[in-house]
Amino acid sequence: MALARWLAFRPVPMSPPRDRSDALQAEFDRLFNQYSGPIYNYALRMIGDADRAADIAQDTFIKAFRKLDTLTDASAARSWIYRIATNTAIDEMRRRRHVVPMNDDEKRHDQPDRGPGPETQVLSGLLDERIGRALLRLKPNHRQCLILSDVEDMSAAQIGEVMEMSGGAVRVLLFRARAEMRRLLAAEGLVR
Amino acid sequence: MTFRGSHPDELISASLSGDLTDAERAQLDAHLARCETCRATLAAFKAERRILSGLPVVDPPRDLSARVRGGIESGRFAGPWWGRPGSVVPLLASAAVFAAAVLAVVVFGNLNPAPVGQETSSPQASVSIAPSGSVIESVAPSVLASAPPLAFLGPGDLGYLSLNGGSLQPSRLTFINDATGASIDAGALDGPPIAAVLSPDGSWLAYIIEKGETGVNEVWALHLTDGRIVPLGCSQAAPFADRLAWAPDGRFLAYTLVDTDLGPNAGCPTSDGTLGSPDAWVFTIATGERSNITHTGNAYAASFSRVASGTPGFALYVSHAASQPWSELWAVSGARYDQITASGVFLPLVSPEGNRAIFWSGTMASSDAGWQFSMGGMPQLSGDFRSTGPASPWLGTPLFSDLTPVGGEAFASGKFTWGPDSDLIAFWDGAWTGVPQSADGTYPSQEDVYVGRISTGLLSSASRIPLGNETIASIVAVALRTDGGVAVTVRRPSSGIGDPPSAFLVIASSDSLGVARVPPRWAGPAVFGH
Repeated sequence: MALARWLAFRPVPMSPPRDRSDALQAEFDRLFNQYSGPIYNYALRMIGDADRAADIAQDTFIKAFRKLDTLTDASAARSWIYRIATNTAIDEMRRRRHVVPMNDDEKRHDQPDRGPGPETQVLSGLLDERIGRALLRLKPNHRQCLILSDVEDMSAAQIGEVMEMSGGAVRVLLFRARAEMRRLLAAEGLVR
Repeated sequence: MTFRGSHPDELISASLSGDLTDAERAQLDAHLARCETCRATLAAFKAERRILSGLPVVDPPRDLSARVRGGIESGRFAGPWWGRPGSVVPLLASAAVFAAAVLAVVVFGNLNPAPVGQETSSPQASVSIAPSGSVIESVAPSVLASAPPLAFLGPGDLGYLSLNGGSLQPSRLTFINDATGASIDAGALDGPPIAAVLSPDGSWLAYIIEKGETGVNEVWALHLTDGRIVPLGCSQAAPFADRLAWAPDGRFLAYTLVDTDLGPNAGCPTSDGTLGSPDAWVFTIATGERSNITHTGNAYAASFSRVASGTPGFALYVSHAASQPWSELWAVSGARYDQITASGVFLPLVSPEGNRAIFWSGTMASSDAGWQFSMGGMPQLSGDFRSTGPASPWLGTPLFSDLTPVGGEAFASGKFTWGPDSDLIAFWDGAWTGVPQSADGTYPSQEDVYVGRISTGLLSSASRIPLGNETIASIVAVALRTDGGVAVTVRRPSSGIGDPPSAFLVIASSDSLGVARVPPRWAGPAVFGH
């Protein structure tokens, strides 16, 4: 009888992917708890759209769960999860390039009430529109390395692990990204 | 060291992230000491880095955990890219959802005297079904697909919401099947759940949470198969506004939102109406749409009912608060059934079998707290709707057989529910404004729960159920089971600033009483499986 069993108030299992070992499950929970916020924010800055960022974060962690047994070095977890997120975001952006934009009227039908959604409000309220605009005008690889460096505070070597490049190549890429971002921010009146 | 070009721009860039060797650092410092252009470049790069590193951190959607787990367990990734918000939509990709939208309108055409649905050409587009033609909100199509109704709770099994976490740590909401111990994570929350209702097929749980101490509530729906969480809106807390009404066929959830405006960063839509004014909303399972079906500013979602015997589908009773309140039967598309108006009837709750209703009668008045009864407020039991006699079924019988209001002072508000057998009833949180009706002055009490059967004399002072000896701040919610089992969510008094809200569940049945005082700190509301 459920009522009788209820009195024992059994402990609540945390997020249960049921067919994985306990160790993998614990590792995944730790990864999710530590990186769900950073990965969502990384995707948000990469994409500039809260809904798509949530989708990218979701897909990133689903992929991470499936590949978890390939993560043999726990100290590399950060680069590993950002690499998955980066590739997921790139895939998403590539897919969008194959879509023919509709005209404005259709877009209005497509988005009947994009107005006051919670994430939209957060974006409009907190993310400076000019910074976001400048970021989104960068080439995707410039945007990635700049965010990883200046927002995520990664070194060139760590960025190289994420973007699968040498540290030297990252330094060149970073310089180009900074120069371009400087130009875009100057156009927005934010730097000289 | 030589530089590319005349200035060491790469080194300047690399210096910001500490990626220079000692030799490079020395080389750069020497160059900077004599090059004004490079000092300007360094200053600009530093300013740019400061700007980017100062970007605010945004909380991820609180259903992210549930979405990930749902994707892992179902083998699905996030919704198809062509159907995500903001996507542009190839024609073929939208065809299925387009068909679903049209189907929804056609089905409701059976109920609607004047169908006004208009279809659109994308998964995101709403079906404008309000008489005014206003566009309603839509949600991501990830909730569009109706999952097979694998019941998370078996018949009669207890399920309850559980909130864990203290004042200094995030609280997480979980829905727990007490019979199996299985749980579903419903994400991080600002406040405790105060109402929950299971859909008829057991696949959805609708619930309301308090949004911290803002005085605002949030309405949510949790899919018990794939773990998805759907936000349904924010509402100023007010009497009678926490009714969650599922259509008996499980296709719609009706609820009330009282306009509120917490500012742009509160995670609530900004009000587009008059603050404090309630209107009825409907969540359509098949399309994932949330529809604001009334715009009168005094309307409450009550419960669903068949329009007439033999008529397919259901319509929604919408109650209007006024000095003399009234209720009308609406098609979910928003067209009112003018011929089915019940004067003096407020917030009818139709029984599961559909033959009777419990409702409020009395004179109402509006205050800062919202609409309440100012005189003669009393829950009533309707007559049998199948009766062919001349008397209106809305000439009700007082739910309490031993309460005699003096001078019109009666209940200002309260809550009631049906058991699944359409016989068991419960009343709680009754705010009695009249003189006490018992010698010890404790009847009726807002801290008591009254449970009885309509087949055996309704409610009285003898209907009180024991809730243990713990001090009670308020009764949050009550759920009933066919065999007489009762699950009561009881809020404890706060012990001061910083003390997170806490509640415990009392489970009473014909032969036992159980009270949980152990973690989680907030247990309930509970539901029973159908």
